[in-house]
Amino acid sequence: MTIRSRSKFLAILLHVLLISLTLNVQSAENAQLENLAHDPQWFKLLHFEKPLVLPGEARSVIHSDDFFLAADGAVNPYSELKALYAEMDTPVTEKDKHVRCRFPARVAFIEKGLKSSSKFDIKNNCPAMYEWTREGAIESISVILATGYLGNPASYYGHTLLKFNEKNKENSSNLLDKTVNYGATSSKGDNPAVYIAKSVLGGYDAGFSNIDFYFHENTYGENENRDLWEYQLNLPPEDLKLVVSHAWEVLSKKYTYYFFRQNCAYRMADILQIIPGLDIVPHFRPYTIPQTIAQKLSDAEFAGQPLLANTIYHPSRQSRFYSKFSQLDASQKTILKRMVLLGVNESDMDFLSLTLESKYKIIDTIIDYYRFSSGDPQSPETKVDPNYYKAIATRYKLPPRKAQETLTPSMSPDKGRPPSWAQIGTISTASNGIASSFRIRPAYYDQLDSDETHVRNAALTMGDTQFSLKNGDLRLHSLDFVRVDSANPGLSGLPSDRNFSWKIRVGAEQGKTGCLNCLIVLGQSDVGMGIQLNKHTFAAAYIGGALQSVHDNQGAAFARVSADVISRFNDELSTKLNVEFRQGIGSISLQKFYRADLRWALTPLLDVRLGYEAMYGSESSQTLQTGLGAYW
Amino acid sequence: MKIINKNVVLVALLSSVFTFASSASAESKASGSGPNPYTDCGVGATLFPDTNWAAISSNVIWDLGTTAITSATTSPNTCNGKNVKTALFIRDSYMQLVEEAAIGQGSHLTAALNLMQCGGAHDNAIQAVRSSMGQVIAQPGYQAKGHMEKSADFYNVINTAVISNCSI
Repeated sequence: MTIRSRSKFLAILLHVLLISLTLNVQSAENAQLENLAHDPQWFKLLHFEKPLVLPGEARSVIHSDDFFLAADGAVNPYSELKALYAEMDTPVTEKDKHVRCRFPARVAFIEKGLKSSSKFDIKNNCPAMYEWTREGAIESISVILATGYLGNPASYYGHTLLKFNEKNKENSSNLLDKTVNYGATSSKGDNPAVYIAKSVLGGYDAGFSNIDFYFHENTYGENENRDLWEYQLNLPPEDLKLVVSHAWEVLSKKYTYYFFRQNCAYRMADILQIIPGLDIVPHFRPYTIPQTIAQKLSDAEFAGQPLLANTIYHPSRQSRFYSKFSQLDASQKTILKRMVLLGVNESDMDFLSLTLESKYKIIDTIIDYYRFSSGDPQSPETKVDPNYYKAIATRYKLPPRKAQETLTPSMSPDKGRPPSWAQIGTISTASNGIASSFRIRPAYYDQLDSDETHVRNAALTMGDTQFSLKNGDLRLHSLDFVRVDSANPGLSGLPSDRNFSWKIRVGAEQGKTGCLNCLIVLGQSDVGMGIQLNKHTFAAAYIGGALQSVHDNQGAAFARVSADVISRFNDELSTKLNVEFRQGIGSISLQKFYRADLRWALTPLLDVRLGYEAMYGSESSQTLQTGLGAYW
Repeated sequence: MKIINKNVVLVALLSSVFTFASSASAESKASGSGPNPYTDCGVGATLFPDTNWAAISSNVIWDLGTTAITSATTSPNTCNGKNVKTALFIRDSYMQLVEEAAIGQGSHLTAALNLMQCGGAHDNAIQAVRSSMGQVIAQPGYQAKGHMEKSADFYNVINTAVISNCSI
C-alpha cells in the first residue's frame, strides 16, 4: 500500500468513525428525548389525560392549535417534544414568538432532562413573558378560595383561582398581584337551565384568564358578598418558577368546561400539580369540590415541609357589616336604625352627642350596610342609595382614623368536614313495618349539618339518593337530583337586610307518607322570608308549589304554604321543624304535613339522625327514620 | 342607557379632538381638568358591557380591563398603560377608594398610588385626596352622577394629589 493510498484509507476510516460517533450521539440523544417524552411530567405539561368514560388513548385536553408545535402534538407527546427540541436553539426572529418565550416550562423540563442550559436573553427576547414573571419578583403562590354563592349555579360550591404574590415592597398591596382564573368562556346569553345542562355535558369552551387580584376581591367580596380565603403555599423557588412559567403557557388556551370534575378547582390544581410529587386533587370522585382542594392543601406536606405556609382571611362586605353591627350597643343600634329609616342626618341631636368613637362605629356600619345592599355599582340596574353618599360625606367631616378592626372567623374552609356523606338506618311506618335504609349524598350540606364553612341555614345537595330494603326488595325511596334552600340571615333587620329565602328541588320521593312503593318524580320551588330569631334559631315562611308525576290520585301539581324553624344549639346538636299545608290542583283535598328532624354529631365525621313525618288529609300516616351517617 | 350614549358621544368627540392635540398641550392643562383616560382612552366605552347573569359569574372569564388596556396603549401620554390601568382600577374599586380616603388609609388607596408611581411616603398624598374628595362628594348633584363620572372625578383628585405630593 502506497503512502498515498494509506492516507486515503485513514481519511475514510476517520470519516466513518466520525459518522458513527455522530450517529451514536444522535441515537443517544434520541433515546434521551424518547425517555423524556414518556416522563409523567411531560404528559402533565401537555395536559394529556385519558378519556373519563369511553376507552381510548390519552390525548391533550387543550384544543388550541397554537399550544402544539407538531401537527400531531395533541396526541403524540414524543412528536411534540422533538418539535420543541428542534426549535429551542433557532435564532430569534420576532420578540415573544420564540419557543423559549412561548413554552418556558417545557423548555426548562427538556434542559433539565438533558442536563443542558442556555444563556437565552428572556428579558429582551420575551418582554411579555418577562413582564408576566414580574421580572422574577414573584415570591410565593396562593390558592384563593371564594366561598359558595347560592345566587348562581356556577358558584354553588365555591370557586378557586391562583394568585402570584409579588415580593413585599414599601407601600405594597396584594390587590395588584396577578391571578390565574379558570372558567367557561362562551356562556353569554344562555339562561340558567341551558347553562347547567351545557356545563355538565361539556358544552362550553373554557380557559385561564389573567386578571389582577383586585378584580376578584371586588367581584366576590364586594358585589357577591363572598368571603375569600387565601392559602399561601410553601414552595421551593424552582418549583414556584415552574408553576409561573407553566401558567404562562396555558393562558388563553382552550379547554372544555365540565361542571362536576374538570372544573375551576381541578384545572387550577392541574397547574400546581405540574410540580413532580404534588398531589392535591382528591382521587376516585366524579366531582371536584373547591373546599376539598383547600383541605388537601392544609394536610399536605411537600419537600419535607407543610405545603401550607399561611392562611389569610379576606372578609366580604357582608361579613364586615355584620361584624360591625354586632359590636354596636343598643343605643348605637337605635341611632343607626333611625338614620337608615329616616335618612342619614349628621345633625341628629343624639348622633351629635355621641363620642367620636361611637360616631365612627355608626357611620362605618351604615356605609357597610348600604354598600352590602347595593350590588354591583357598575351595573346599569344598580341604584346606590343616596344615604350611602351622605354617610360618606359625614365620614369625611370626622377626623381620619387609621385603626381598623380585624375580623376573625370561627373556622376556615380547610377545617370543615368532608363534603360527601353516607348513611345506614331504618324507615319505620305503620303500614309497612320497618325497612332498612341506605343513603348516599355525594355533596354537600343540608340545613342540619351546614357549618361555619357553608351558607348557614341553607341546603345544597346533589345526587342525594336513598334506597329502602324490605323482605329482599330494594327500592329507590327518594332522590334529590338537585336541591337548593337559600336563606339569608338578615341579622340586622334593616330594610335591605330582611332575608329573602327560596327553595328549589328536582328529584323523586314517595307520593304518600309511610309508603315504600309510591315513588313520584317532582320539581318544586318556594319563595319566602326568614328571620334570625336569636343566636341559635332561624325561622322562615314560604309559599310555593310543585309539578309531579301522578300516582294514586295525588294530582299532577300542588300549591303549598310552609314554615321552617331551624335551631343549632351547638356544634353537635341541631333540629329542624317544618309544617306544610298542601292543596292539590284538582280534586285532592287539603293535606297537612308535620315534620321534625334532629341531628346529633357524634364526632366531626359521624352523626346520628332522627326524622319524623306525619301526614293528615283524606288519609293519615306517619314515618320515623333513624340513621347513622359518616362523612368522607 | 342615556348615560351610555352620552359617554359614547363624549368619547368620540374628545377622541377626535385629542387626535389633533399635541401631547404637550395635553400636559399643559391645569391639573384635574383632564384629559383623563375615562373620556380620552375609551375606558368609559367599555364601562357597561353587554352582560347577563352568567357573564358576571365567578366561573366566567372577564377580560374587559385587559381589552381596554391593549386598545388604549397605542395612544401616548394620557392613554399610556399606567394611566389606563389606574383608571380601570379606580373604576372597579371606586367605592372602596372613596371610603378609604374618608378613613385616611387603605389597601386600595395604596394600590392606586402605586399604580400612579407615587414614590416615597403616601401620607401627604392621601391627606390631599381626603381633603379634595371631602369637597367633591359634598357638592350638590354629586350623588346624581353616574359611576363613570364619579370614577373620573376620583381619578382627577388622586392625579392632582400625586403631582403635588409624590416623587414620581
